[in-house]
Amino acid sequence: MNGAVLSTAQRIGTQALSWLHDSAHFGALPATTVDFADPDNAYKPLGETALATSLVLREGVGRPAELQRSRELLDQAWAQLRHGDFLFERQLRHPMVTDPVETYAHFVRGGHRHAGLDRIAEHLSALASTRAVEMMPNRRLGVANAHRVIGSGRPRNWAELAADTWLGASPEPWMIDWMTGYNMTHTVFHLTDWAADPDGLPQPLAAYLQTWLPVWADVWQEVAQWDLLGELLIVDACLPEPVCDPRIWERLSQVQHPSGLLPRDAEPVTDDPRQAFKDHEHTAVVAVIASTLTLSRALGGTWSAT
Amino acid sequence: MSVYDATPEEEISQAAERMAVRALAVLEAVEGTDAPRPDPVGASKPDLAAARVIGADLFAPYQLAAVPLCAELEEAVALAQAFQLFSAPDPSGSGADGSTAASAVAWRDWAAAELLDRCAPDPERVVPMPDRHLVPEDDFHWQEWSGWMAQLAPLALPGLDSPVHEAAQRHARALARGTVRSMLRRDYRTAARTARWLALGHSHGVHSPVDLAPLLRHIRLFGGPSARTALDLRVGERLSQEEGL
Repeated sequence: MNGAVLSTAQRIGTQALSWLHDSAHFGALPATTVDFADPDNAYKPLGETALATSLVLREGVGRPAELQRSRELLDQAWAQLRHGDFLFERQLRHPMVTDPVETYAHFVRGGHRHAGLDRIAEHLSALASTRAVEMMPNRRLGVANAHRVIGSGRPRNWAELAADTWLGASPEPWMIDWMTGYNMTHTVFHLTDWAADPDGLPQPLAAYLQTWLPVWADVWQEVAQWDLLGELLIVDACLPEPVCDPRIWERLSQVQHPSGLLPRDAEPVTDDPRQAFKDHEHTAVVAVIASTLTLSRALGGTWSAT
Repeated sequence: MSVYDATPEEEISQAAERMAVRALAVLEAVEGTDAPRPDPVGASKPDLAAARVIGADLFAPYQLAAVPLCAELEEAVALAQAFQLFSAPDPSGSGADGSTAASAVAWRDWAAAELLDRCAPDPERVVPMPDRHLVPEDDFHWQEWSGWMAQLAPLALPGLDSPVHEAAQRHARALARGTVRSMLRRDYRTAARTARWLALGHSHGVHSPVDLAPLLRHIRLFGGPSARTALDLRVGERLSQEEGL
């Protein structure tokens, strides 16, 4: 990957982070009551912002201003969640749900701790019941990785967890669809803890992705699925060596707005900034992560010489 | 009575479909299946144009079943007439504009003439092997190359050999990526064509990165009614069932 491509990747991530930072007030939790039973309320974007910023801080390859913005966003989100009390209370009310622990892991990665959540996470991870909660296999990997990050989990059989996923089945690569594409990406994210441990991806899965990832990236680029394309670029950064066509970065750069907003797809972008944040916040998070991990691997990873 | 007259292109396309149906029937016949008698090749102008379009695939049943070619074959007679009626373009293979499409036509003509010569040599008919073959370089793009190879699917037959065939064997991963891309784009016709190259490679002991049996079965079930695609599939199935040498 040459310097021009890395420069493009860096610019995309910097601008996306800037847009997230400037738009953060649209993602604040309501000042009144929050529905603890609804995991998809405003609290989900806070978790996604925490994920992206925690990775920027973990990798440390951003400029000082970006690290500063990431720290601010992460700390603001933590404050929004009342320094973890929100997650703690939601977990108390719903012991079988997993999103509090999954969200908490991002903040732990960013340097925050909540003693009550730590104790509960340790307890829950030891229960056969919570380990057997029925969910998508890639999500089960997500929960396992959250416990790994928190340090609360018992050792897991990662190979077994991986084998249960779509990706682990050596599937026909021509059967993948949009939703399966997202599931596949998350399998890779959690097995490698977001590129921190590329060896966490079993070798047969890495070899499979090295052959087929460029095809999927090509197809979803053609139909302007920028959000999924960004996720595929994160997968690329989790592989032993990148395999995707570097021209994809230029393509993303072309569709990114001057404000830093990266559209999730080819649909028109609303003029309403609140709705635009709701629609495209996830894509900005994806862009920040893809940019950060690609730069980090290039600068210090095994493929820095290419 | 038809409510409209078919355009020349439609007539040729329909004739090409009929010729593919015939090739499938001939294949069943030479394999000894109790199949209905194949329709004649035909000698109308659209039929002869279609013979040029189908090209080497006219002889696919015989090549697959290792039946010796001879001058009496209906296909040989029709193709010889077709070459007289529609002369081969610039034999340099690059065409006036040097386009890849023109070079694909030149390669298909070469393959058709090569097999026709084995039936009935004709010193008047000179169709040399093109010198332009888009063999992948270091910076080649598998999308474009596999698309070009799809146009050359009639060359993916036992008994033909060329730099194109050698490239197909060396770059099975690029062909497999192109095949999967076509599958995901629901372009089953193109997928069947590149899968033929993978199947031919398999018959020569080259590992296909994509499992061919379920892929070909999927195209058969999802790929629509085209007889030409059915012929590509049948060739692919036959070749993929052969043990690698």
